[in-house]
Order: sequence, then structure tokens, then C-alpha cells
Amino acid sequence: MNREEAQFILSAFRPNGADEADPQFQDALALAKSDPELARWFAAEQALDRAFAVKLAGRAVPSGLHAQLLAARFVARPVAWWRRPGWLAAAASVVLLGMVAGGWLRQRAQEAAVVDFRGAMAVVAADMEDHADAWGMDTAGYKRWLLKHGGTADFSLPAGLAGKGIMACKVVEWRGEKVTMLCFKSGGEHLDLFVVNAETLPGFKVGDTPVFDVAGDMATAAWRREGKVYFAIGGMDVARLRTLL
Amino acid sequence: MAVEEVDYEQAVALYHEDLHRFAHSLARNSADASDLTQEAYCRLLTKGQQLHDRTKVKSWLFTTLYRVFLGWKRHERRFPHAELSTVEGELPVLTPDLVDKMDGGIVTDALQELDEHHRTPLVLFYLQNLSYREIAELLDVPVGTVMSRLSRAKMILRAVITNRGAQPEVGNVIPLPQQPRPRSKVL
Repeated sequence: MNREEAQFILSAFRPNGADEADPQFQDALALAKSDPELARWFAAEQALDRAFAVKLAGRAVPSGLHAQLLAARFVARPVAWWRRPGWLAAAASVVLLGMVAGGWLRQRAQEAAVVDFRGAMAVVAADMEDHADAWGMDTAGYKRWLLKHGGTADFSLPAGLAGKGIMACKVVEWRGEKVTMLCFKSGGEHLDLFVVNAETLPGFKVGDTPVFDVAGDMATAAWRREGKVYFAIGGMDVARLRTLL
Repeated sequence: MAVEEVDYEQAVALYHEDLHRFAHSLARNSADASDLTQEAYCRLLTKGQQLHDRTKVKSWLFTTLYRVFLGWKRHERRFPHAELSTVEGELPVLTPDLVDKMDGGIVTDALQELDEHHRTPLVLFYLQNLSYREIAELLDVPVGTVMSRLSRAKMILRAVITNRGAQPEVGNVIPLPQQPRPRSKVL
């Protein structure tokens, strides 16, 4: 190892001494002990690095950040959906409609399936502990990931959502069918869009124009396009959801 | 140790300031830096079950924050990127005393002028939380690449500060001595 090689390696030696035991540096450190010029360079380099580190460590952090992060414990782990008053009502609706549908004709069963689908997807949307499985890709990357995991990838996003870009995704299984879930973030609001082949839900009587509704304290929208049923749900009011689609 | 057993409060107390500083160097503004920091901790709460080794909380948080940043950057183009023109030539002379006397804002502003490939490892290096090996893992690049970028990033940072010191219209900059003749080639 010559002096220049040692300098190159020692440039990565942290000035707080945390790397002293790292074997990668031992030869370079040994050379610095026997080479006065390298030793002077290293001392100066460490002093300058230390000065820069102090300056960076002095950069102020927002005063409320610490409290906000601690408070996040109470919002990142939401109360279980079945304990929320809104969800109790929604669950009761699902159960009641399911019971009614059980004694009716096929059409009623299909309608019940829609109710069940909406309820199941709402539960998935509310589950923040295992919300999504893929992040940080571009749209093409998400589509590849979805295809690989059996999800629907040939979706067509409304202009409003397409402009926001997909934040994360997941493939959900419902009654043996794969349902694509796409996550979007707008400001502090979160929206999930579920996409499933229309033949899976023949009772979903929606057209090209989104039909808005509410589920507990969340707004929903559903529409059909090119053989796919789309179901959007987010913790916001209907008026706000309408602006996002 | 699973995430349920990770002391969240301790993780916040120990790392949130440096995470925010790292996020600030990426996003270049405090509001987005706070968003990134919060998202990293949110994922510790919601996805921390992926974390089986308590000793990895620190590097997990830094890595998660960086990946969130990359994801947001791809989708939202919220982080404008300005390339620094290539700086070639000699290593500028700066002394610790001069840096000590500088306003901290000058140093952090100068850091923001570095392109992301150089700025990110250099900020992580100066924050001193992660070793060069951990920085390499975080950035998903070879160890040698981290060393090379660190070496060059330091040179660029010093050049930026030195050049600012040479411009009389820039306030609060400590005048620097004239630069000597080139001493070494850029790595």
C-alpha cells in the first residue's frame, strides 16, 4: 500500500473513531504511523472532517418533530376496524345484507358479493400494519411486480390519480380471486384503489362514471372500465375524493 | 428481536435528529425532511416486523428513509435536482479553524450544491452514524464506490466553500487564503 492508496482508504475513516477496530483500515493506519507526511495529512483530514461533522450536527431540527414522532404510535396503529363505531355499522350492514342475500336468487347473491367485496376491501384499506407489499417503483415497475404476483396490471387510472403516481401496491386475495390494490398519497391523505376483473363481480352495477358512497368514516367510489371494476376508498369526505379522480 | 420489542421511544430519541438532517440533505427543505423522517418511523411501527435484529434499527431507519425518498422522487418529482458542474483540479485548502468560524448554514448550503451521488454518502459520513460498509449497503453500491465518492465529495465540498469565499458578494463567508498550486490529482 502506498501513501495515495492509504489516503483514499483513510478518507472513509470517521472522525469520531468509530472505525478504529475495522480491519479494512489497519494497514492504512499502520502506514500513517510510520510515514510522518501521511500522519500529518491524516491528522489534518480528521480535524477538518470533525469540523464539518460539528457543523452538520448543529443543523436545527424542527422543535415539534420529536413529539410528532412519538404521537405517531397512536395513529400508525389504528384502532381495530371492528372496534370503530363506523365499522360496527358497516359490519352490521354486511352481515344483514349477507343474510338477506342467502335466501334470494342469484342476482341477490351477486349483489351480496359486491357488498362483501366492498367490506373486505375496506378492511384491507384500514389495515395499516400490513398495508402494502411493494414501494418505491415507477408505474412500469409496479405493473411488473403485480404481474409477478398474479395481480391485475392492465389497469387504467383516472387522470387525477395518474398524475399523483402510485406510492405502493399489494395483491389481495378475495374469494380466491386476485385483487390489485394501488396506494396513493395526496398531501396527508391516503387513498387505496382496488382493481379486479369485472367478471369476478357481475353484480357491481356501475358504469364509466364513478359512483360515490361512504363506508364508516371513509369515502368510496366505484366505476367500471375496459373489463375492470375499480373501487377507491380513502379516509376523506366524498367531495374531496371526487376531486382526486 | 422483533419490532414489537424495539423501543420505539428510544429509537426516536436516538436517531430522529440525524435522520432529519439526512432527510434535509436529500429533500433540501425542512418540510419534506420532516415528512421523510415521519414516514421512516411510521414504517418502523407498521413494517418493523421485518426487523429481526434490534442492533439494526439505526441502519434500517436510514435505509428506509432513503428508499422512501427515492420512491417519492420517482413519483412526485418533488425534489428538484441540480447538477454541480464538474470540479476538477487541486484540493482546496481549508482549515478546521476556518470551518469552525463559519456559519453552519454556509456549510449545509454548500452541501446542497453537491449532486446527490456525492452528497448522500458525504452527509452520512459526517453524521457518523454509519460506517462506510453500512453506507454502501444503504446505497446498494460497492464499498470501493463509497470510498471513491467520499473522497471526491470532500474535494467538491471544499471547492464550493472556497469558491464562495472568493466571491465578495456572498455574505458571511470567511475569506480564505489564496489557493496553492495543484498538489494532487482528483481521484
